[in-house]
Order: sequence, then C-alpha cells, then structure tokens
Amino acid sequence: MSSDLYANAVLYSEISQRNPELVSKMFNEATRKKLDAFLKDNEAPKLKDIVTDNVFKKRKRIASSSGNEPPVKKMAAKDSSDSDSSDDGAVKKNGVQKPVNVAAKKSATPVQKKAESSSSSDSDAPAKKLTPVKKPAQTPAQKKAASSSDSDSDDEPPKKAPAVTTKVAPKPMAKKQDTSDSDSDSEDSDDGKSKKANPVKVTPVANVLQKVVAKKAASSSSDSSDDEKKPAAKPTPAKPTPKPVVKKAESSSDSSDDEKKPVAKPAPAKATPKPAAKKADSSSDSSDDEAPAKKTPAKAAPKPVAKKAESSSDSSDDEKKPAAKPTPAKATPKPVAKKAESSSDSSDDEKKPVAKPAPAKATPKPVAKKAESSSDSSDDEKKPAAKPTPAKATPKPVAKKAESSSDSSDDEKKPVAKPTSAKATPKPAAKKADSSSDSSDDEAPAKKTPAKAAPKPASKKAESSSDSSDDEKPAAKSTPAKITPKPTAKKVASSSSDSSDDEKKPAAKPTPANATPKPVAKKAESSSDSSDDEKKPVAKPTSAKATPKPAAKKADLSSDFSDDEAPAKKTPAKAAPKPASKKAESSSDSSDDEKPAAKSTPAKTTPKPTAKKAASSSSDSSDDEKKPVAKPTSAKATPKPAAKKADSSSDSSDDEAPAKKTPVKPTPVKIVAKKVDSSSDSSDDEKKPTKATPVKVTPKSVTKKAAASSSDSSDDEKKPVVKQTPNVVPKKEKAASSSDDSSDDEKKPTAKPTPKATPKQSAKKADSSDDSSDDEAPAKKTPAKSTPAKTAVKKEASSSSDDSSDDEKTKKKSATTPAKSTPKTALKKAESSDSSDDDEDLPKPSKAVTPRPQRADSEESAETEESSSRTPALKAKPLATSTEKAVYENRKRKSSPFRRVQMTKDSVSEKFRNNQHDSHFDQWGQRANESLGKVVGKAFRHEKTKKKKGSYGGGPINQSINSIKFSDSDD
Amino acid sequence: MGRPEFNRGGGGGGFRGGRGGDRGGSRGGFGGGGRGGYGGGDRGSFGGGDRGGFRGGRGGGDRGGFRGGRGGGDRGGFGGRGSPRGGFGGRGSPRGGRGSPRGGRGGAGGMRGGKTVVVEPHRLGGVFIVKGKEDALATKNMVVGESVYGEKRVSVDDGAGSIEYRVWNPFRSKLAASIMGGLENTHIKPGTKLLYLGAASGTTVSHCSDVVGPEGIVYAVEFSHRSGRDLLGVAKKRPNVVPIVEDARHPHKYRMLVGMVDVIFSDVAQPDQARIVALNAQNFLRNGGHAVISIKANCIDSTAEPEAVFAGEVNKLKEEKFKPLEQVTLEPYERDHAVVVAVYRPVKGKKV
Repeated sequence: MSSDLYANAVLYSEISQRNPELVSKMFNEATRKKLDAFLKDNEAPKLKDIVTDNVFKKRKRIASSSGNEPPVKKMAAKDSSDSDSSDDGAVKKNGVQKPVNVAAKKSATPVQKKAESSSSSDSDAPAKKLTPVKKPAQTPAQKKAASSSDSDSDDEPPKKAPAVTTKVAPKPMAKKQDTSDSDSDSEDSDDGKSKKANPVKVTPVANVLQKVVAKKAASSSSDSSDDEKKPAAKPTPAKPTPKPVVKKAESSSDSSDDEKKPVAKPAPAKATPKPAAKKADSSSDSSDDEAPAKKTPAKAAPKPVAKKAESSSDSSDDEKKPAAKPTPAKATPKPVAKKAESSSDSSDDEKKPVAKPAPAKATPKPVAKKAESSSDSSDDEKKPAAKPTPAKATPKPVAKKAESSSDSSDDEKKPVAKPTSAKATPKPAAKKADSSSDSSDDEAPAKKTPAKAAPKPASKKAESSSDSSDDEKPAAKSTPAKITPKPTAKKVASSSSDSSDDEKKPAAKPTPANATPKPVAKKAESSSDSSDDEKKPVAKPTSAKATPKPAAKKADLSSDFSDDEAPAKKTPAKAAPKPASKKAESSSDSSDDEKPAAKSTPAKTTPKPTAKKAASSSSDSSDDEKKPVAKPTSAKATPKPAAKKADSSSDSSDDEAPAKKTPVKPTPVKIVAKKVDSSSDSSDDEKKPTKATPVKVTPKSVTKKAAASSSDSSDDEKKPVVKQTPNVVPKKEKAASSSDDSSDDEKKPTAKPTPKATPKQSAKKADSSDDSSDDEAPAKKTPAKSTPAKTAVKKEASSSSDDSSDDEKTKKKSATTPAKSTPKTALKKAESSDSSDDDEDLPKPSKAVTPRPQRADSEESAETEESSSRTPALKAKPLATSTEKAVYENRKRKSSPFRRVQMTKDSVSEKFRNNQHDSHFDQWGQRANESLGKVVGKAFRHEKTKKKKGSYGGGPINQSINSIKFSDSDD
Repeated sequence: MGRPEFNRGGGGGGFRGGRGGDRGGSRGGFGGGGRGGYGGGDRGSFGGGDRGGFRGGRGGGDRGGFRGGRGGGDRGGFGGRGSPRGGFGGRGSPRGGRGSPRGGRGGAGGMRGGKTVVVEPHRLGGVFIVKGKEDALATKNMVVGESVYGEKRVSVDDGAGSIEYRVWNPFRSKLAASIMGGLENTHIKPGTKLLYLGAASGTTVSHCSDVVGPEGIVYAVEFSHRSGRDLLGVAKKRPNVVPIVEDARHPHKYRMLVGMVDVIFSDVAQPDQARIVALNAQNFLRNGGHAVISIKANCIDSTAEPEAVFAGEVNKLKEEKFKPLEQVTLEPYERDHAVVVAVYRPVKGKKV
C-alpha cells in the first residue's frame, strides 16, 4: 500500500502541478485527502527526477544500444521506482520502455501517454506513430521526438530506433511464427528482444516475471511476466501479428511491432507507423500498436485488428503492455490482477476478454464467423496464448510493456493471449496473427477484462477482437477502457463510451467502473460487458470467446480479418476495424458480443459486428479505423484497445477495472481456459493467470495507488495511464504542451504524454476523440506511407493538437496514398471528435465517411471532441499546420457572406411581397410618398425631417383597414 | 490724454485695435464676436476702441445668435439684446417652431386650429382625428396645456369644458404610421396595460399614455440614458407612465417594476428583436395578449430584401408562440419598415 500511496502521491503532485483540473478527475476526494496528508508528511519525488533518471537514460541507451539493454534498464528503473506503483508505473514505463524497445514504448507511452492507464492507448498511438517512424526511418521518430516533447520525443526516438531494430528482427520471426507458432515465436522473439526472448508464452511469462522482477519487484512476477511478455511481445508481437494477419501485416506487424516498440519510444512508433502505413493496415497496426503505446497505440491496436485483429491486437496488446510496462507494475498488476485473480487470470483475463470479445466477437465473429465466436472465445483465449505467442502479442507486450509497465500486465495478458491466440490463431496464422493479437488482446483484456477477450473475438472476427483485446488490455490496464470501448463500439456508441466508462470506471474505481461498464454493457453484455466484461464479461466472454475465437479467429482471420482488416484499411480492414472497433472498442463489446454470441448466439455476433462496424460506434469506427490500420499491423488493434481503454474514460478506472476485472477474470480465465480448451490457451491462460496473479498481487500492493487494482502493477500502470489519460484529456490541453502529441510518443515518458496518449486512446475508445485522433494518426501513418505518414503522424502527434496531428496524419496519409485507409481511420477518429479530423475525414474520401458515421454514431463524439481537442494539441502542432491548412481550406471553400436572413422575397407569401406604399388607400400619405419615394439616404432624412415639423398635411385620413392579414394557413 | 493716447495707442495698435473693432462690428451678430472680443481684450490694454469692439462683439450677440438658433423663441427676449442686429432676432423667431419644440406654442396657435376644427374619434379607441383643412391624428392630452415634443395641440370646447388634443404625427411615431397604414387593431385602447420596448424620448409613449388613459399604464423601457432623460421628463407629468432605463434583453432586471401586461409594443430595431420580444412576453405578457412589433429591415439584415426580413421575423415569432395576425407597411412614413401584430399564446376558442 505504501508504495501505491507513494506512487499515487507522486502522480498526484505531478498532476496537480501540471494540470490541477485533472486531479479531481483522477483522484477521488478521499484519495486526494489521503494524498495531501501523505504529501505533507513526505515529499514525493518529482516525476521528473524519476523519469529523468531512469527513463531518459535508458532511452538514450536504448536508442543507442537497442531493445535488449533497455529491458534491463527498465527493470532497473522499475526496481528503483518500484516501490511506488504509480511511480513505478511511471518509472517503469520509462524504464521499461527504454529497456526494451517495448520498454521504450512503455517509458514513453507509459509515462507520457500511458501515464494514464490508457497510456497503453497512448502508448499505442505513440507506438503507431513511432512505428511508422521507425520503419520509415528513425527520422520520423526523431521528428516526433522533436515535435513531441523533447523528453518524450527523446525517449521515444531512441526507443524507436532500438525498437525498430529489434522489432525488425522480431518481425521476421514473428511473421514466421505467426503463421505457425509465430506468435509464440514472435513473443519469444519479442521476449528475446525485449529481454531474452520468451519464446513461448510461458517463457514470456517467465520473462515477464523476470522482467517484472527486474523492473520492479513490486510489480511482481506478473509484472515481470508482463514485462517480459511485453518485451517479447513487443518485438515479436507486433511483427508477428502483422505477418500473420497479412504480409503487410507482417511488415506492418513488424512495423507495428517496431512501431509499437517505437511507440514505446516515440520514434519507434513513428518508424513503425510508416511500415504500418506501407502495409497500410499492418503498418497502421504496427503504428497502432506503437501509437497505443504512445499516441498511436490506439491506432496501432486498431491496425492490428484491422489487419488481423490478432496481430494488431497483439501489437495493441503490446502497446498496451508497453503502456503497462511504463507502469510495469501497473501493467503487470493488471494482468496479474486479472490473471492473478485467477491463476487463470490470464485465462480469466483472456477469458474475460474473450468473453467480452466473445460478445464483441460474437458480433464480429458472428459476422465473420459466429461459430468462431465459440471458437473465438476459445480463440480468444487461445489467441491470447497463441497470438500472444505470435510475437505480436509478445512484441507488443514487450513494447507495450516497455512502454507501460502496466503493459506488463497487459503484456502478460497479451502475451498469454497472444500465445493462446497464437495457438488458436495458428489456424488462421494470419488470422492467428489477428487472433493472436486478438488473443493477446484478449489476454490483455482478459487480464484486465473480458473485454479484451471479447475484443479478440471481435478481432478475431475482425481484428476487432484483437482490438478489443487490445482495447481491453489497455483498458484493463488500459484494457478495461479498451474493452469497454469495444463493447461500446459494438454495442454501440454507448458501449464504446460505456466500455470506456466501464473500463475506466472499473479501473478507476472497481465499483464505478463496473457499474458503469455494465451500463455500458447495456448492450447487455457488451457494454456492461466492458465493466462486466472486465469482470463478468470475462467469464461470459470466455465462453463466448471460445466460440467466437474459433470461428472468427481461424476462419476469420481471413474473413474476420478481412472484415477487420477491411475496416482497418482495405475493405476487410474496415470490416475488421469495425468489428474490431466494435469488438475492440468494446473489447467488452466483443466480450459482450461474444457472450451474446456465446449465449445469444452467432446471429448477434454477426449483427453486432456489422452494426458495430457500421455504427460501430464511432469508437468502433475509430477503433475500426485504427484497427484497419492496425490490421495491417496488430499494432492497430492494440492502439485501439489502448485508445479504447484510454477512452474508456479513466484509465484509472481501467486500472481499477482490471482489479475488478481480475476477480472477474479469474473466473473468466478459468472459463476461458475451459472453453478455450485449447491447451495452449488454457496453458497460456493458466500461465498467465499465474503470472498475472503474482503480478496482480504485487501490483496491487505496489501500484494500487488506485487501490483498486488488484493488478496493481498493471493497475498502477494503468492507473497511471488512466490518470494520465485524464491528464491527457486535460492535457489535450497539454496537448498543446506538445507532450501530448509526443504524449503518445511521449506519453510514457511523461505523464502528460501518456495522458495524451491515453486521451487519444480514450478518445477513441471512450470518447475516442483523442483516440480517434490517435487512431487516425496511426492509421494514417501506417497507410500513408509508412515512413512519411509515420513521420507526419508522429510529428502531428507530437505536434500540437491531436486533431491537427490526426488531420495531418490523415492528410499525409491520404496524400501519400494509402491515405484512404488511413484517412478513414483518421476521419473516423477525427470525425468523432476533432473537427480537424472531420475535415480530414471529409477530404479523405468515402472511407473516411464511413468512419465518421461510426464515430458519429458512437457516443464518442463528445469524448472524441475532448480527446480530439487533446489530440490535436498533443499531436500536434506539426501536423496542425497541415491540418489547419486543410481546415482552413475547407472553411474557405465554405465561406460565404454572413446572412441573418436566408430566405428570399420569392419564398415569401404573395401578399407579403409588396412593402410599398398603397397610394389608393392612404391618400394622406400620398404627397409624402411622392417626395420621399424618390430620395434616399441623406436626402430622405432631410425630407422626412421637414415632414416632422408638423407643417405637413395630406388631406383626409382613411380610417379603413388596409393591413395584410395572416391566415391560419400562414401559421 | 488718455484718449489721444488711446487713439494713438489705438493707432499704434490702432491697427490692431481697429481691426478688432472692425471685426467686432462686422461679426458681432454672427459670433465673430469671439474674435472681436478677443482682439479687444488684447487691445484692451491699449485702448478703449478695442473695448468698444469688444463689447460690441459680445453684445453682438454671438450669444444671442447662438441661443436664438437653439432656443428659438424663448431667447427671443435674450436675443432682444442682440435685437440691434435686427436681422438676427428676426431669424430667431422663425426658428422657434423648429428649434424648440416647446416654443412651438405660437405654431399651435397658428394652426388653423381655432377656426373650424372638428375632432372625431378614430375607430381605434383613444385615437382621434382632427378634421379640418388637413386631417391629423390626435390623442386626448392627459396633461392639458403641455406639449411633449412640440407637437400642436388642438382644444375643443365641448361645452363642459375644453378638451385638448395633441396632434400625433405619423412621421414621428411608428405607431401612428401603422394606424395611418390601415392597421386593423393596435390593441392599445383605454385601460390597456402596455409594455413599450424602445421608448426613446417618449414621444410615442406620451401618446400611448393618452390612449390608455388613467386606467391603463405604460411601462416604457429604454436603454439609452440620453433618451431616458427625456423619457423621465415625460413620465414626471404622466402618472400612468413607468420609465425604465434598462436593456430590454434582460427583462429580469425590471421584472419587479412590471406587472402582467396586455400588449407589448416593440420598437427596438435590433437584430434579435424577436428574441427580445419573446423574452419580455415570457415574463410579462398574458396569454392571449398581443405584441405590436415594428420591424426595421435594415437592422435585421441590410442586405436582404425587406419583405424577406419581415417574413423571417414573423417566422421567429411563430417559434416563440406568437401567432401573427396582421402586417402593415409604414411607407411612406418610414423606409423599409413594417409593423406586425401578433397574439401571444392565443387562447383557444377565444376570439383574438
């Protein structure tokens, strides 16, 4: 507790310093009082100090060295900071991010973006951005870094670079793995990269644990596992996913991985983004992942989803994880919590996620495959495991972890999920990727929530599941949020917001969150799922997931994928995105969906997916968009989740949610495990749970800050993230602070950044305005040409307003080409909230249009706006310019003289068309009319003045009536 | 001695002094006196000549002229001083009518009035028509013997005493112009409680006060302090006028002064006039009450066609639960104006 308190105090003081408004959002009164009292007695270290020491250095090192070292550093950092979960989270994030590519992400994302729970989302966003950048080149990263907050940017860039490198390597692996066990491999690779490589899920876990331990003992094994996973996941995951999903995905996934990692480090994200962009979806995914990690995260996640939810999801997971990592403790905690709760946590989480996913999936899956739904659920679970394995999950996780310590939990989950998914996924391979990602997502979600699982299902079907999972994960840590988002998305807008709410609330406050979530769940399970998902959802989801996954994932992959992917980028991406978004959004949704599917049935699932997609809640859309992007890469998926999570209003809630979820999860997990069947899944789940559990335990104690978070580390991370998210929102404000943009990138590095990231994510998910922006950005990035887009995105992101960044990104993307997909995403996101986004959307094209509707539909709009505002700020100014220009142009085009009265005389009733003097009636005025009628202006006045003298006489006055009557019909 | 000196001096300065004197003389009447006086002043030290000039300049009646121009008749006496200048005084008197409304008395007398004037009631309650060589609208003066803005008054001896009517010039009042335009019903009649938005100096308010009579009341809202001052002057002598110097957009600021009213007359000429009327109607207008709204098209949208503007305003009123009854143009008395009469929350089954 003391550590939590300490962490919270640090966070609290930091936030109160930077954005007093956020404080009330992040901390409840009781907590505030407590913290105030605490601060009186103890002087909390400044975040700056912590971050600087750990993160920055690490980052630098990482940059130079690359991913492997970072983990260590991260761990060190974590260790150092660990005592305070929050602090740890921050530190961890930083540290983590730095250490591994993932770590970098984490640090960047976690700290800045994630800072809040959503940080994952943030991280995702950043990741995305980063990713693109990375791939494109470090330049993007650099740019971003530069653009974004220096610290963040710095961190990010370095990370990116490393991440990239690592990622690259991982990717291949991941890809390969993806197809087959790539997931595991990827994870392993990721792990390896990040730490050593936890080849298998198990390993990842171990790694995670180790990492966690290393990072912060506090975070607990789970964290470590998370971390490990994340690291592994990050590198691998992203890559794997992409690969699995699509080659693009692969590349993208790689990129996504890279991105993710980058995301972890801002730069990476950017770099990755580009790749993503290339693959478009994949890249986007990757970018998404990264983005999630940072800003992009959301996007990244989406992308993954899009691509194949799985991969993307993985990436997203990764991202999330990274985010978690930043917070490692938190991240871990969450995962742990989730998992922890039930040894099967992971399974639970996964399950839950799955469950949620299931719902979501159900929808998605139904669409894609309803059958899958069941399978999905299993898939989800599996996916988690498998996918997680896929590398993407792992990589992402890693990255994510790196990014956010909390991620670790996510990572764990994700990793697990991935692994699972991977297993499950295997079938789909690509699908798996998705699924894996999904699974990872699911896992992540699972940990945090069913939502993820659900997401996965969703992704499965679309990558949405992955997204959802991602979302969930992020939300959870972020996962909850994500999950929620998905649910929301799926269920509807409500769900997204709900989910976010749910997640957030849950996270924030277990209860609230749950409550909220449930409401969200409305859809039933879905939205409530989110909350429920997190908790119940998981269980339900699980079953649901099981079903969904199979169908969705495997079969899906392709189909789902396609769906997901369509949405994401291509058509499939879009579809996927939607599903994803739907699912993803509501991972809870997904879970809900899944549940529904499971319970209700496939029909629902299918419908939902569609609906979701369509309406798919704006959040969905955003998610979708993201996912689409993600699809290409898993990253997207991840980002979305993150975003979602982030969105999910409060990351903290997420954190809490996770905690809550955790409990739920356990069940779910078990269920999942059961359902999952897939031994791997189960194993994964189990493993996860175990790990998770430990982690959770630790985290809670440590992180808990929130208190809630059983999965402290994860929670903490998440919470931090969440907090950050809130901050982010506020930040938006900050946004301006650049850090936001950077936030995505920076997120980890700085709380603000994180917030931003989170905001974005959240925006996407919850409001997802930010998210959307993030998502968009990622998406854009990805699509756009990986590099350019990424850079642009990054820049944008980093740059001032998210919107602008989004817009810019979108624009860039569009400009570049891929644009469409990206734009859409962007549009979607943008639409929802940012005007700029909207603008972009419009410009963008049809796709964009679609997204918009979704967003519009989704409740997110409001949130989006907020987020968007944030986003713009965050993202940035760089982008802003372009965006602004675009906006300006649009305005210009539209501009027309102001007219208070629009109607014309012709539209007026005949009898009212003549206001002239009636000389036949008014003889008295006739003379005056003769003199006044022919003069105007001054002369008229002169003439009239003469008439006022009283010397005027006009003869007899007509007393009759001569007015024009209004008939009843005129009324 | 002194003189010579003076002269000398004047001569020396003679030039100047002379000049000043000349000026004073020449300009005296016009106000050139200022200069003359000036010069005189300067020269004053030099010589009496200047002084003369000075005095002359002053007497000249710059003032006389000035005041005469402004005050007209009243200053006549004053101007009398300047009367030496004759021309000047002459001018003053003619001006009287225009310059000072109050001085118009003579005019009234001059009004063909006295001769064969018949006052008939208009179909609208409280409004009369003075029939003579030239017809004119009029209202029964509540404050006998006083003109509010220089309008002519007509006294009629009905046997029981004399009744005084004040001519109501449609070029000065939009309400009068709308009556001239053939408005079926202003709904302002004796006993009406009227809320008058945009009372300005109170010219129309004074006629409304005459129309509603002692049983009615007129709440006159005017935001301009300058106009409000004149409005206060009107209200001082009329017990049924409640002057309110406030922004009609904020009816809550004078809600404690205003009770439920039967009619709202609005002449605020603001783009958001419809909203202003609606706000006041919500606060003070009874259900089934009426609103008489003068719409100045140029104040709503100077680029749009007046007819379209009017239609637009009518639509706005409809959205505010007003039911438009009739519309009339104010041509030629006002440019691009129309008056719309609407009923507020009409009571079903009750004839409006």
